Amino acid sequence: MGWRFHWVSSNGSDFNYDYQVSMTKEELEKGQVYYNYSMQQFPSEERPGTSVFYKDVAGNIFHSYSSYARGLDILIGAYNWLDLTPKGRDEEGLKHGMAWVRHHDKYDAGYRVDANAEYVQPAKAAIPRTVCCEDHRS
Amino acid sequence: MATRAMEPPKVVAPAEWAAARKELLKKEKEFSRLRDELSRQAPRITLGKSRAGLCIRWPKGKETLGDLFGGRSQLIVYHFMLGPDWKEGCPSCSFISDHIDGSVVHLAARDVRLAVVSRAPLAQIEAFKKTHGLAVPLGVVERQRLQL
Repeated sequence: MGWRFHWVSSNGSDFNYDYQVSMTKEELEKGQVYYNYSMQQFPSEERPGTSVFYKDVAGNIFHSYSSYARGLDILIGAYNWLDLTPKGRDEEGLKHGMAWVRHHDKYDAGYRVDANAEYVQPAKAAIPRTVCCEDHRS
Repeated sequence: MATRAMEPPKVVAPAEWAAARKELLKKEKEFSRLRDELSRQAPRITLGKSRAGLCIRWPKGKETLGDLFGGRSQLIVYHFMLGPDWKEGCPSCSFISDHIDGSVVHLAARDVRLAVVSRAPLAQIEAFKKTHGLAVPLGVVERQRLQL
């Protein structure tokens, strides 16, 4: 993707479950997830969000903020640029607002937007399972 | 979802344009003030001690949540949707992430570390990072637009 930011794996820890961004077995069975501070249905095993933490001088870590769903819109500079144009975000009529979004190398000659597309999580692949951090589950 | 009528923009005289622009400016200022108010309020509370037991893996080894602060006192995590057996990362999260690199150095200057966390194993994260390369060259996008 050409990115340089610090990207790490929480695999094998409870981190994603603690912050409501991965579906637990219980949620999968119920068909409902606790997300964005309420129970709801969600079309994916993983969910988007951002969480903020503060560390004091003694090294104690505090959770100060988490935001989900449309709360993440403000992180998208491209949306703010689009809001300045006559056509705006141009998402009217799209069943799923971001149905027009692609990975940045996929706006090629075959680019088409399906207005009726729902959000579908990326396909799965047979990837060898590796577990890390087995000593840190809490 | 923000929506807007698809009709072509109306052509008007300069005075009417300026009046409409000033009208919109009122709302924009109102929005800015509300945004300021939110910015002052929202993140000032904390939820007590967080479980620090997170162990995360990155190319140079293991880290704890505390390490992830990278020497700063504030940490922002973006929860990127890449499940343990997904072929690729979520396109919408990738869209958001296209905005991250340029912010990192500015945030560091304000005592903030910005990091991205996914549930997929590290090898899968690294493999996805190597795919998709850079953005489509603009010329390709422009040619596509002209065909529409």
